[in-house]
Amino acid sequence: MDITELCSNRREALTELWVNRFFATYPLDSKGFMRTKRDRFANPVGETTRMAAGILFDAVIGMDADSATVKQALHDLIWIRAVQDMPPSKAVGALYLLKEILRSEVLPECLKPERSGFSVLNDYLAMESRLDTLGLMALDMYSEARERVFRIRVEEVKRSQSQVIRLAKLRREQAESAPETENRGVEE
Amino acid sequence: MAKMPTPEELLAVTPASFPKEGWMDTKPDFHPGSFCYPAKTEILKGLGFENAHDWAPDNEDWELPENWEDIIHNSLQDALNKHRSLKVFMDCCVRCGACADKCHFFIGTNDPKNMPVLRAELLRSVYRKDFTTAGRLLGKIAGARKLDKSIIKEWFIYFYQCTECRRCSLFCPYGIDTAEITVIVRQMLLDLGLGIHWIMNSVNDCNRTGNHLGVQPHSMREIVEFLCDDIETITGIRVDPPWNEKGHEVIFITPSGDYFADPGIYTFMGYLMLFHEIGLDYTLSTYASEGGNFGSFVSFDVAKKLNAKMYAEAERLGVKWILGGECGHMWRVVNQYMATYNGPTPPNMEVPVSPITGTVFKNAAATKMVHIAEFTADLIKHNKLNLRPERNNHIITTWHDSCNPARAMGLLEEPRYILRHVCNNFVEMPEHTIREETFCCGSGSGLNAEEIMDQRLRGGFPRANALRYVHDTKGVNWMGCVCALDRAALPPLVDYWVPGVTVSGLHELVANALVMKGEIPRTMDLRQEDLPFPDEDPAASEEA
Repeated sequence: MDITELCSNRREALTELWVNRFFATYPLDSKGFMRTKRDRFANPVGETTRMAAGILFDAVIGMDADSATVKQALHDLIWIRAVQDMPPSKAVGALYLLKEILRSEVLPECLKPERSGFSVLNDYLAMESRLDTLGLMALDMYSEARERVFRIRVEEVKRSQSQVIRLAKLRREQAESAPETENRGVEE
Repeated sequence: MAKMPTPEELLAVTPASFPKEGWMDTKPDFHPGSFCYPAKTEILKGLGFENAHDWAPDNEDWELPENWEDIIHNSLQDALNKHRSLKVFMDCCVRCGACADKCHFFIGTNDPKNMPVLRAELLRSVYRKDFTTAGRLLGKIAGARKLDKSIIKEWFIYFYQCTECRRCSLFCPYGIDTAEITVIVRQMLLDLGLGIHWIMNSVNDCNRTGNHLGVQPHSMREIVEFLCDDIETITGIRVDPPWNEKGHEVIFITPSGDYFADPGIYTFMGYLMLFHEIGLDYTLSTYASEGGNFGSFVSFDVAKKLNAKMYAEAERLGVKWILGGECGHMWRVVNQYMATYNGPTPPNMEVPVSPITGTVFKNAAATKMVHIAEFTADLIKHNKLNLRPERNNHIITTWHDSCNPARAMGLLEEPRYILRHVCNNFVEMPEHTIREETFCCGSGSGLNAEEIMDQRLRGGFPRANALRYVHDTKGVNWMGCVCALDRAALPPLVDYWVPGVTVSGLHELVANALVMKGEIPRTMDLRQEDLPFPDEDPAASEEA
């Protein structure tokens, strides 16, 4: 049994543990709602997290995963957390909470003597590396999200003043095209 | 070597991470981005708030007046005397939790103090301590707590994280109106000299010039002339709106964002084109130059003052009724408060009758004020407009029910009726996110300040999430709305969550489809972007 099979057999339990770790980054009083309200429009943070965790888990354990789907899932997850008033480590680092779960739930299985002749430990390490890759991708996405927020703030100011800017430009054009009047100086 | 924390320790997510203290003792955190900038002292003083003072939200000491506890006590006592509703709201909540998960701020932040029940409890706990026997005797056991300075800070954070959208009220079996509670707490904070710049500066401008943006009469006229130039470029028709003229049938009043900011200006151009086309006997006013009312977000008294100019100008100019533009909270003020604030209507005003169709707007018999969506829907119903919806064929639009028109005046069908006549592709967002249950843009009630953009983005996430769904599954690339704050707040929201969707007012789409008598063949839309489906050029077809 390879590592992918080993993990996919326990997919539901392992992703649930991971999702609960994500939810644990929010206040305790909100966890119940996030966990139990299974409606993507009534509980978008909870359900986006859950959906993303499933897709990312498959990618980490080495299932055939469409890279665009994986990227989108990670993007959806990180772009929510990027504006939720948490430090970057918490926004992105929650991905790594899967390591602790894998180490306590899957690693002991890999270290069993009957598996010693197989490459399962190497596969396990490769699996952790894939999670590291997701972490790096998440870092890029987090910083892209923050840059978007800053750009949005600037653009909002411009939009809210659009007619004043237009008026000011017109005034300047008028001033520049107006003929110089004589005797404007004060020297005389 | 120093001990490094594990990732779990760093992120503080041990499986049983129980909070160290209960909600009453959890103090709010102030850091840039978590609060709006404070109102300027001279502005508050000018508006008559006598305890105005210099302070900063992220300073430990807010330099409250010495007798701050008495001020709050008296302010709450006044509010309870004046608003029987507040007393009922304070006493009748049974903590059933129906509202708890209905607030977009709770859904987007997952902060329990954004549950409407808990937000109200921030005030209710103080009310219990000071105004109920059980609270006085039993304290915490009865859900009461003694007022301290950290509670003032908590109010400032959380009552400026409510957009007064009233979605929670819809689900409350008692109809507790959190928006009213929020306004009253903001009023109490103002009594201590604590307000936010974005709201109070707009209130000050409105008090001085008639509009939130402080646009003076000559500038307003100049800006509108720009828009008339644009209309001429697009249609070949010169529109010349009357200004401050007496003797017309109607005065048109709209939020200043419509003639000042993108993309509201396109909606404003739409109004002008429509009025020109139907030959409406109307005037604009540089005094009643604002339909919105930022005062209504913080104080009933200020709201009343800012609202007064509508009837005053209607009386001065001798109009029969008021036609109101696409605004959100303006319509809550009109429908729920205006008659009490500044009624009865001036004697020259009459029950509105459409001069084009003869329809009597009995629903506006009390206020004498008709929403432009009602007016235009009636024109379409009576076949008074020549519309070419094909011009909007590149648009697949959805409809965002702006909170106040939807929940405070039941304006649900009229915009949809119009939209279906001016756009061939209209898609609804999922149920429970539209109509009465619509999700707020996340920036209402004066919270569209740029410094809290993160808060706005997470508060608007439930709205954006529903939009994203129809964008992904139905190809929606446009979202219409009837609220100037929406038109300001939704573009950044969409830019972050659902890039590729354009936000506009309803009458921008109407005017794009409107065939005006004598116009040139349209090749561009109101934004002066090329129309993918331009009008046929008659000269070209003759040559062919």
